[in-house]
Amino acid sequence: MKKEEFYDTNYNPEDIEVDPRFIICEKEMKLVLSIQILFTIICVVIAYTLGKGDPSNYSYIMGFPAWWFGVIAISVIFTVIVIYIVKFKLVDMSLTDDVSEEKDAVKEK
Amino acid sequence: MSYEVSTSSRIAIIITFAVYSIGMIAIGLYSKKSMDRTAVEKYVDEFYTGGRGMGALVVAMMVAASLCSAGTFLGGPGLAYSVGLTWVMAGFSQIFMNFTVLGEIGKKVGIVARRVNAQSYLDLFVSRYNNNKFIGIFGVLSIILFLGSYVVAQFVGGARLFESMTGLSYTFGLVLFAGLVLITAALGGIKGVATAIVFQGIVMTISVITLFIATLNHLGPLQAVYKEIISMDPSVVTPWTWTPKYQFSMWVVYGLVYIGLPHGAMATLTYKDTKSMHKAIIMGVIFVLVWTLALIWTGSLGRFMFPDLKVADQIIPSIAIKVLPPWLAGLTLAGVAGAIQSTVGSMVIIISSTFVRNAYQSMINPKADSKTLKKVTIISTVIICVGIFVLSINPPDALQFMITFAIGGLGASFFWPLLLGVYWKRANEYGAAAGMVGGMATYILGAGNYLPISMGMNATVIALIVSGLLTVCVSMATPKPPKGIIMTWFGKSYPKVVSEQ
Repeated sequence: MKKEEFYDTNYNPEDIEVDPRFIICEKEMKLVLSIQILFTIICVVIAYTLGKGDPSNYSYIMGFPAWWFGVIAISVIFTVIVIYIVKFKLVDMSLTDDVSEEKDAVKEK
Repeated sequence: MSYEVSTSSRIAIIITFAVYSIGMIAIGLYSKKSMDRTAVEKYVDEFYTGGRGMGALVVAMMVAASLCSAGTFLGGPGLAYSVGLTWVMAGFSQIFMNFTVLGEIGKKVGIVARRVNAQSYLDLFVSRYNNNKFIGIFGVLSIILFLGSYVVAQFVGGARLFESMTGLSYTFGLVLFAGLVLITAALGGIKGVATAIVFQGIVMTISVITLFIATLNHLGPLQAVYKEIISMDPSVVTPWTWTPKYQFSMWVVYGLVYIGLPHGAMATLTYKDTKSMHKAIIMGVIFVLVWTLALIWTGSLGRFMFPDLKVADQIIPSIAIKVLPPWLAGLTLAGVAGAIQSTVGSMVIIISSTFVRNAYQSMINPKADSKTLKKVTIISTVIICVGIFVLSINPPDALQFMITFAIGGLGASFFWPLLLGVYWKRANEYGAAAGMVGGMATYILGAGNYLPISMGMNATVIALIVSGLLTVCVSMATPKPPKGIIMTWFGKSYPKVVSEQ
């Protein structure tokens, strides 16, 4: 590519054909970010709701203060969710741009 | 010092730690042999990204162990001891660090890094942002200064622990720590560090599980323990010790900004293929879950065993010596050492790659040949290790300043320019530069209490808001990034060769 084309800033970005792998990467990024945000909100809400009030009045589940048990349970549940997402939702793809691999550049699971 | 260590215990601890150290030396020498066999032209690539051939376990550990340092093993439990379960809860936000780092940018960075031959974390910024000199210099300086300070703090913490558990001198501990890192990093490059990290991660895991089980065994039924702690100090057991707003901000710091930390994101440059990367996520999540759960929780339970500990950071070694036989307590020491050295090893590689690629090769001597680069790589890595050692002997006060701002500052400054750079075509060098400076400055102003802008939260939140706004607005107000760069970072076909006109 000629230098002046490389450094051109007056092109239309929409004209660039996006690599299908990158479209998938962006979807996955949004999924991952959403999971972490969801995990954050749920933990904070559960902890601060169940944990209200005087600690000497706490109820206990399996030896832990109820709110603390809640946080641990949510963490374990989300760990399972994350493992599920990685195994079944994240897509394998080729990391190189070999022409011969273009046809199966994106491998469905 | 609040725990007494008998002489026989000391000896057992020293022997266990010596075995660990010998293991590390063996790894370093083995990796050196591998690097010695590498062709000169490929030396720098092999040194910094291992030829991009790393498998799942290595990648998993590299993310997890690099990010989990003395903070997870000493400082975190220390805070759990003094602040209580509300801090432990915040610690849980880091469990999915492998998922967020690799899942958010891992694959795209893996593809683009191969297109542009990125060998350092900063290479990504330099490539995406048009070789912008300001970004290059800002990046080099902030990485070297902040990560360098952080490394010194890690060494100091580790050496102090070594001194109190073994009875040997602080300086000897420093020499040992620095020497082990030097052998693995300077001689073996990232392969040495990565292999060491796997070994350290395993030691960390075994020591953590042992300590946790022994502690629970020692304590008996937990409900009674919690009731007792509540009668001493209820704030240790309720989440409301921190406001929900502050707790949320801590989840932002420990859960969201990790891609902004060079040593955590480094693994995206090195993994072999997406299958390995996916496995690395799962493995990494489980490791971090185990370490965080066991250690930080144990720290808070320590309140029951040692109600009046003067230095909270000593809670883990105190518990170890109390509930474990001496040779297993030595394993705990090895675990802490492993956590520190794994983080330090990664940071040394980052500092070195940043200097060699983004300062030396791009600004000082662009025409350097492979032989020169090989020499510069080895020499600069050695100098970095030695320099850190020297600073750790008698750390200057200014260091504390740098350390406090290291992780928050770097994270707040790099997060948006990286995430937006990877996924938003319109992000340009001016926006990124503004976002980096704005994020760093806001964080320092807020965290240092120079300006009352934190709004009752960790300063990272306001810093991220400022950085994000700047990156977006300044990008939109200035010209688009060059077509060639956007094609490389977003396009199906991209310009492999740019002809000089």
